[in-house]
Amino acid sequence: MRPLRLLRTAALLLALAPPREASRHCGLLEYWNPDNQCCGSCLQRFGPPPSPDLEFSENCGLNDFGDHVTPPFKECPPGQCNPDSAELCSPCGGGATAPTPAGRRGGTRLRCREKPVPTKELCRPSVLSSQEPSSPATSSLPGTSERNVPQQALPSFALPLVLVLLLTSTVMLLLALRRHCRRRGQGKAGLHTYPASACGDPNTQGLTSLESSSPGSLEASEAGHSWKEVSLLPLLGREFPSLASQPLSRLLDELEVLEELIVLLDPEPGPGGAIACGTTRHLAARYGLPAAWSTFAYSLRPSRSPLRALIEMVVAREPSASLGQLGTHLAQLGRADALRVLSKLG
Amino acid sequence: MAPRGRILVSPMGAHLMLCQPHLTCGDKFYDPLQHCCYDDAVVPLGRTQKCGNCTFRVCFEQCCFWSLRPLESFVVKVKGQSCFLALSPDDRLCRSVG
Repeated sequence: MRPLRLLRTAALLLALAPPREASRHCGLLEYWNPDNQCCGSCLQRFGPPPSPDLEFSENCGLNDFGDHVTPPFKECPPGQCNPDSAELCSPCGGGATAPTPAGRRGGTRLRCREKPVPTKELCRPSVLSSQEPSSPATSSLPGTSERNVPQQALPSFALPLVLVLLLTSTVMLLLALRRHCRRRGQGKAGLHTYPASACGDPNTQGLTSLESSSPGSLEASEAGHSWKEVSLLPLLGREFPSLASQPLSRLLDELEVLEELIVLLDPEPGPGGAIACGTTRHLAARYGLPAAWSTFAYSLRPSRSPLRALIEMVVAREPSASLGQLGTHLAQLGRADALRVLSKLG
Repeated sequence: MAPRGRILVSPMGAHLMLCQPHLTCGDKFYDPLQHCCYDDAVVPLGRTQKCGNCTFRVCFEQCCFWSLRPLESFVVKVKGQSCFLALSPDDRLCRSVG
């Protein structure tokens, strides 16, 4: 009988033990913030449930390590609904409202700093139904971002309007690129058309039109073939040998040169800006930084230059980085103009 | 009486002080080149968390709830984008693990 009693006790203890998913520190409508060691409000983090048939899930789907395990919202139990965007559902058509669960399993824990509740986002009907991943606007949650842009249902003319805008942007980009390359060089290039993505895409076939450039010549790069890296790399080694021996950190001290490089390499806004010729974004990729870092760096504008942030990051990570490396990257990006500016330090 | 000649001297030990960017996170300051602010906490730039069965970098990405049916899922988007935007090539669809 003894083993049977032990077995029964073990089963009882297991039944009483809290489920692994639930927070050990906070109540059901809170989540544990492991960095600040406090319980945060689900409502303040995610905003109210965006749909009348949703309520907060336990600890808004977060575990005590801060991971998103399950969605922060779940459907109301049968017979209940949430028309007032409360934290929990209540019986539909009135009736007693279920008391908000209180109490914590792990004792009294510090509450995190109070924050304003994010505005309620409109729930899209598709969030609860089978949905193709490519369909737009299926999320009902602002996510972890504190900046939420509510979206309304798209009007019927939106798609044609978007197409027209896209077409206009493409045409403007082509014209701008043509003007840019013609201004950089005449005669030798003989360019009349080139693909819009020629500068940003190393796999473009547009390079086949650039046959009149002579390798190793700066004039050739000025003629618009600046994305041909073979025309600039020998030049870099021959005419700017002193750059290789100088540390990259020197650029941070030479403010005039840095400012000129910022003007040349940072700009992106405007139609087709993201695929413009070798910007700081491309340079960051050359240095092994992820696209998300570039997006973050560009979001700091105008208060902070992405190029300056990039140089500081590279110098911090690799103190031995040299101006020569930067010159090589600029040559590979086909930025002869930036190379000329950099050569002032040579 | 003629005024005495002035002797200009440089201050000893002078050095250039550059303004560094610092932002606030809750009630703390942080250097955006080293850290970011995530849920009122200063965390290093390389910090990651789970988003369903995916991992996302909290300083550059965000974990958005995507759908409940047919499967509970999340999507990892670049920070700053609205979670309501349609999926783009930069986004990652992740399954709930709960």
